[in-house]
Amino acid sequence: MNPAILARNFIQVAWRSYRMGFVVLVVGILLAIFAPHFLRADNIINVLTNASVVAIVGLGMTLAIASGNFDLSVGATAAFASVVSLSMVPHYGVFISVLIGLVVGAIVGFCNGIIITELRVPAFIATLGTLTIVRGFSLIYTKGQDITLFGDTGYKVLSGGRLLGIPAPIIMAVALAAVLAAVMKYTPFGRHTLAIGSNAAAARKAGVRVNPVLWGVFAIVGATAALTGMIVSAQVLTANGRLDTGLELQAIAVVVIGGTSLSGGQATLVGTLLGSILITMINNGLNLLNVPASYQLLTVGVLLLLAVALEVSRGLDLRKVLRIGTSA
Amino acid sequence: MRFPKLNKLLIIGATAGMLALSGCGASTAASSGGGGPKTIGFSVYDMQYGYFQTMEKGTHAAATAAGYNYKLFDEKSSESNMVSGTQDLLNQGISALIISPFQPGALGPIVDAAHAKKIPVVVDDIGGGSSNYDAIVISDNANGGKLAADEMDKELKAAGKTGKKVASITCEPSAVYAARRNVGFDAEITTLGYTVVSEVSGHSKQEEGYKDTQDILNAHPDIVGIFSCNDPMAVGAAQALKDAGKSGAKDVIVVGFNGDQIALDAIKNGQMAATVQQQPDKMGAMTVDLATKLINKTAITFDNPGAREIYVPVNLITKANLPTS
Amino acid sequence: MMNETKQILQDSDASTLAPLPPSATTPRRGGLGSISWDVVWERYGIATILVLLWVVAYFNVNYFGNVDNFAEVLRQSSFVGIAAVGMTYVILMGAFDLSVVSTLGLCAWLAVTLASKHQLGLALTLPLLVGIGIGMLNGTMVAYLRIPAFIVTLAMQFLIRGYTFIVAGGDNALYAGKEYTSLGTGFIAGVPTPFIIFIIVAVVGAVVLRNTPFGRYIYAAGSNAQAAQVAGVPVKRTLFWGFVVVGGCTALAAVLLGARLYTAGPGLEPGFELNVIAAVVLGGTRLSGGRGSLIGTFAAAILFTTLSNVLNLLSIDPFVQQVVTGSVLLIALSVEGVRSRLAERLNRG
Repeated sequence: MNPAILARNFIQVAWRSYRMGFVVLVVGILLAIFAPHFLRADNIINVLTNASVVAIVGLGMTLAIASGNFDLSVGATAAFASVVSLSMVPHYGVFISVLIGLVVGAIVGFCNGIIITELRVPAFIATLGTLTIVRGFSLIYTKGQDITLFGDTGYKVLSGGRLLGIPAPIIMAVALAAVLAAVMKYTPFGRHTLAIGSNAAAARKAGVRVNPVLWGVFAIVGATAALTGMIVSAQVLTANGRLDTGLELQAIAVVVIGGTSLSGGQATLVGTLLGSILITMINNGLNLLNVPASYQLLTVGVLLLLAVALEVSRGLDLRKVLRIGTSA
Repeated sequence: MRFPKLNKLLIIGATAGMLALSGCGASTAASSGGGGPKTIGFSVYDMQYGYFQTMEKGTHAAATAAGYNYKLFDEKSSESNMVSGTQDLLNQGISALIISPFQPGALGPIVDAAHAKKIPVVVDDIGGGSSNYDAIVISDNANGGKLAADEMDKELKAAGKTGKKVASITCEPSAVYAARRNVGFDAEITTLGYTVVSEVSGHSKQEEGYKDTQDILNAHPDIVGIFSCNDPMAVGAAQALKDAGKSGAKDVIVVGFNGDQIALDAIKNGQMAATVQQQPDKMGAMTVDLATKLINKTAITFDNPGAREIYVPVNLITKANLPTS
Repeated sequence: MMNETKQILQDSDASTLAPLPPSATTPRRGGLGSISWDVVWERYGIATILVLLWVVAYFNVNYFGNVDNFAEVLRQSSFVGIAAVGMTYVILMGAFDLSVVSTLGLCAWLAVTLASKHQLGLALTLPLLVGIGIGMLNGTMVAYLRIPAFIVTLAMQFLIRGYTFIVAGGDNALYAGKEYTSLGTGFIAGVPTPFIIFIIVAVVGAVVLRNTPFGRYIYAAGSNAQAAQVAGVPVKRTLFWGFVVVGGCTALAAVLLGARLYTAGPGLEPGFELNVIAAVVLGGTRLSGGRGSLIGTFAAAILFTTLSNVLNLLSIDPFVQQVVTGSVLLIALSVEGVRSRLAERLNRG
């Protein structure tokens, strides 16, 4: 075979599989050249840590999107789980409190799942409703006050703990990505999630019990949202009803930039990790360069369009394009 | 085709119903100002923030103490909410309106509507826009920023630090009046011979103040001071410094703004140096007092009669003068 | 199970639509002789709830029936309402537009700035052109470049807001005169001006949807894009113009809102896009497209405002208000799902 064709094929295949990796690398090199201090070890660790915080909820959101749904309530869920969790620390200690937070998140997610499947409200609007309600709950629970942890409670381990020198959020994000990737690939739950995402009616006809699978998916999204919320609260050792406003759009953005298609049926968990790194890296670079916030908005907008343009270059089914926003 | 007809009928019916309702509503419009106690309406910026909760408490207590009925509306950080909800207050027969406006520019329609009903308007903090309000009680934001700069300089000199790089964290780009704190700080600290090497927005959020500070530390490891437009972001900054093994009271001088409880706690624990304290509860009480004067048409002494302004001093709170609570 | 019914409906649509010429691709309007319950609910449910709420509030809530208060409710509902009329067009095609919040900020800022420079004519026209231009941009990317609407309009939300912050320099525009603001705060024959414009927009919107080929194409494309394509409906062009309609309506709402507030800036009305979409969906339009009507949207926009007005008049705690509003949204939208489940159970047993 002609070596030129071989090389071209190789580049094509490599590009298709590692697109996001390349983009992250190129942007990283550009930032290293133009932004002073970008390559400092401290800064790189910061970028990766903060990317992991978004990535964790992004990984949950990847599952929701793969199943053909959205979850707009993740920011509110994160805040609610965090205020409940932090308020428990003085009574039950850190470990139990974090567990309680996760359970609270999973319950909120499960309720979303019930509303979507049993009451048949489309996911977009169902989670928009729970967003409002759950924010209200957090504000009522805290009476609008801050819940602050004083002294050395150990809660900090969520954001500042290190294993072999690696910060805890990075470890949690990578481990979560690995676990979820295995679940998606090797368990019936994972395969069913993808089947529902590509065609819920067909999946049902094929014997998939759609509703319980979606309860599970949304419970996972809720738990990941809770974890992200608790890590953010651990960073500042404070939680309140305002925490993590706007997290939902960030989470959806990293998933889509990472290459998971909004039409469902496919999940790129590694892509979500890379998408989180890309956005965090760029915001960090712009901060290092002292660029005003308005330009950061512009940049994220352009980035989203570019990422999806890459995706679309592969061609999408018109019908699916037109039907985004439908739910199971 | 029966549906189009049904549709038309319904539209006509609904519109007629609306007009009828609003028509006969006129006859039931309650008259205010009779014998019973008068009502004061307070439209608050956003009850999600500790600062405004304190302001609301002060206003409520003073109104009750003065024998008024009291009605609250929460603008929830939205200008159209602010205008429509305050309009709702005006339509409930209040005798005076007190408002801490989310968007001072949008006071125009509110003041116009209030004055059409002969209801006086007292603005509490934030700003008066270019509206024709009757009185405004305001913290001196620019001067607060200046105080913060002076304190930072003093503490840096006392600690024998020679670094000249400082950072300034701003609130939302849309918070025009709060931005004056940073402008006041930047001007004074520059006059004192420092350079503001980084000015980033933390969107008023604690978690963003934390992240911004991490970025600032990486870009300028030799930074010596951080001023934040509000206290939550200042506490976030102090926390980021602590996580980087530094102190916000000794290694890098962190100064916040507001005097929120979390900041007072952080100053007490030696995590940050100072905050510029506003006095929202006192401001609330003052607005009720002004409202009474306006209702009774007694004279008011303004600090700046041209703009009908009454200043409330801002205090610098450091570990040395922490209020004991 | 919802999917099955939907799928079956779509399949039956496809089989009836495919062989027919485009002029015959009429929207589905319930069963032919019989009125099906869900269609009635979809179309008139929210209007009925609205009227009931009015009656209850009129007799039980102090000041609700006060003419000033009532006028204020109608005025306030107009801004979300006008944008929601446009949004109904794209949601009927199974897409939506998240960029309306930033379009609102840009156009309102532009209108107030121009008005304050005594360019009243420009203030009333240029924002509309900008809104239409943004709609064309969105429409091109969604319909012709085939990028998912969610991402296009989310990206545009960031882009337009960033751009507005840059051109506005972070300052809000202010207007001090009376000519422009009377558009937002005035009355015509005792009815608030914005509400009259809202009624006009809704009626024109409904006529276009019902009586023009464009309207029929929207329902056809939204019910089943592929079948519509086969039947000769210009699906892409229809989708493109749908986005132009949202852009234009949002710009109109912006011009009125600027006149209402006397001021506008790039950070105007955070969450506006979600309120608009919620009004459309609460009004019975399906997010999956093909089904819905403007009367629902019209009633839903007023319902949201009425609800928050009533909660304010009752002095309900602001935090509790959020819970109530969200719950009402969920309950209203659950009705159809619960009913269809019950119907299935009855049919089976």
